Amino acid sequence: MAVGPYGALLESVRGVKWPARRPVQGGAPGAHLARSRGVATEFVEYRPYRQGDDPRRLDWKLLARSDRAFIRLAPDRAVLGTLIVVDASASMAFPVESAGGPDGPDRTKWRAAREIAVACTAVAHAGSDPVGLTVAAQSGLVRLAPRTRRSVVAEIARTLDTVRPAGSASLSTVFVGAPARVLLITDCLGDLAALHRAARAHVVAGGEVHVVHVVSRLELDPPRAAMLATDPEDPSVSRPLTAETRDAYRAAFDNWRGEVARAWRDNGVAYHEVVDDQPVDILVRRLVAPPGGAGVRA
Amino acid sequence: MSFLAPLWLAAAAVASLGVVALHLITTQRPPASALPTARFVPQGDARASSRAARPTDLLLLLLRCVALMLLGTAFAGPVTHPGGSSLARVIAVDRSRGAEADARDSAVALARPGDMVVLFDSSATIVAVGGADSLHAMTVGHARGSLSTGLVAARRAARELARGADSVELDVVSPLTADEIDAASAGLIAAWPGRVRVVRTTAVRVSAAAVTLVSDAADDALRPVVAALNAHVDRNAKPEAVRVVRAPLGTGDSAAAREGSAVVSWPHSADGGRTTAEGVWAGDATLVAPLERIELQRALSGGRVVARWADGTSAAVEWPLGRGCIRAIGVGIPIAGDVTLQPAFAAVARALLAPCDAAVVGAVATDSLVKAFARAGPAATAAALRSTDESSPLAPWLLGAALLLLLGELALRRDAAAVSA
Repeated sequence: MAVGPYGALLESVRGVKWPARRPVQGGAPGAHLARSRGVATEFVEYRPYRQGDDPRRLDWKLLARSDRAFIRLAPDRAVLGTLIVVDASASMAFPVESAGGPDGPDRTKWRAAREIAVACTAVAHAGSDPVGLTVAAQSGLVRLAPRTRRSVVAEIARTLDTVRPAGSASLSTVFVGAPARVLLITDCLGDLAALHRAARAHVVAGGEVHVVHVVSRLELDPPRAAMLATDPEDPSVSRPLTAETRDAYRAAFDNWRGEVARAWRDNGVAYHEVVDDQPVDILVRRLVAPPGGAGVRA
Repeated sequence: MSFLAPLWLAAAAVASLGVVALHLITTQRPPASALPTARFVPQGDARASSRAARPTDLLLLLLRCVALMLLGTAFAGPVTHPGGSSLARVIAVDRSRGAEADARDSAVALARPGDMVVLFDSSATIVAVGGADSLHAMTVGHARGSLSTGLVAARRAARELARGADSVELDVVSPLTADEIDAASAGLIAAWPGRVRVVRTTAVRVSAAAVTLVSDAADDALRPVVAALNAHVDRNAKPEAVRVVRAPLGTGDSAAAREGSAVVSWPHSADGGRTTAEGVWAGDATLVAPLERIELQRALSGGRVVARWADGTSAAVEWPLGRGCIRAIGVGIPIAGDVTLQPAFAAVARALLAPCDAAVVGAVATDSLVKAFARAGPAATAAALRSTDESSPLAPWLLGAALLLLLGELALRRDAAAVSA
């Protein structure tokens, strides 16, 4: 499996499991607890025999003692299809990797998003879950159908490496035909209202949605030198960021991030805010933690 | 090199610092930079003030600062001085009638090359070159001395010396007799911005006037007064000759005046002349008595008023003639009465019958006054002596250079604007 520069990262998330946040719909046998009951050796309860049940599941000893036919029920486990959705709009390319020369930023939101996507793919794939990829790029959606074969991690890594963030992309359509679990990696600077509606519908339909909100350190703490801040996705938004407006900007950005987090959580979405310079393996461990530890802002 | 108004240099330096500060705090459109969260930046003018850590456009900054410094230097008025001694001296030597020959000797002993000599009596002569020769040839004259005249000339000479020296000292060589010190003298000395050394020489001996009355009348009313004035005259002291003529003046009188005598024309009162109670003032004395006003010759107007009536009109006028003078007195003495015997009349008569110019030659000033004239301390600095209207020959060139630099700055700024556009 050729994973290129992600080898160390994948090694660091080896053994990490990504359990479902709630019992999944029954299906192919997998690692996640299903809402249905199966025939595994682990006993859960009895149920009276009904016509059509497999006679092999009868508890013959109980039948002999009580002369009543019961079926032994065991917890069912199923796979959980996972779709990694990555926002490849122009804003994800911030900051430009070449900006600043040797002293410039060595991390971008796009790089953090790629690493998170590959690491989560590896974690989900380790649980035998089929994993697919959708990259929302300017040219449209780049899709890789959910698969369980061994090369899926490398395929997803290669696909992500070929994409260059540019323009603006719509994420609201990625939920159409998506598997039960959707991991959305974005900076939330697109059309959030439509995305919220689509995510809520997916959650209501029994799926689970994880949102990784990628924030750049330079967005949190922009340079103190005056500059004419220009939105790469909308050049008409061009405003002077100076010492006088810097505090107001930071206050507005903090307030907006709080509102975004609250909106996602109100829609039943597991929301995680990550900063592009944080270690990805730790982020992934937090992200895949059971619901009790999820939703913690990094 | 020194500056006429060095404060302009400081002002230019402050202005240059201001230019540097403004250069660092520029109000311009800051560089555009991508920021995905630009929407959270408050709306504002795209032209924002920014403080640059490192100044840009160093050539522009340099041009502005140099132009400002050149302007400041031009306004400061740089003046160059040829090499000279650091301390120069102005020697004001009294050559008036009150001085003796030792004034010359003292000045000769005092003078050294480079000093300026001012010879003064009632007028002053500045000897810039060859002062020693002039001193050797100096003789005391018959003119009344005027210390103020000498001080004014000394100040003018010092201004010339200040072009080539750091400081200037004033040496006054004079007997400082009372008649050559006037009300302006103390003020002129006080205005001298440094050390003043007074070398006091011998004054001529005090000489009273030897009054000669030319009158046909044996019982002339002036005889007792003249006799009283002559009572203390020291004939060995070469007294000033005063000739009182009661008759109209003749050629002999004019000749006497040209020789240095004071010829006083004091006519008799006309018979039956009307005497009224009059007040007359002369010198420091005032006489109130029945007197007759005798009309003075109008043709001889313009002379020095020696005495005045109480209403301000002239009672006695003196005109210089040759080395002496003619004095006409219009105060008629009544034939009868004891006016001439009064002490006030004697005092007025002493002023009216004084030598020419009312001088009491040889009477020296008090020591306290002389001490007040001498001032210790550092010599006057060249800057303090320079005239405020002195101009700098370099100023036009500096202004021209500053103008050229400002034109260059304008061109450079336009080029920079074109490039940035």
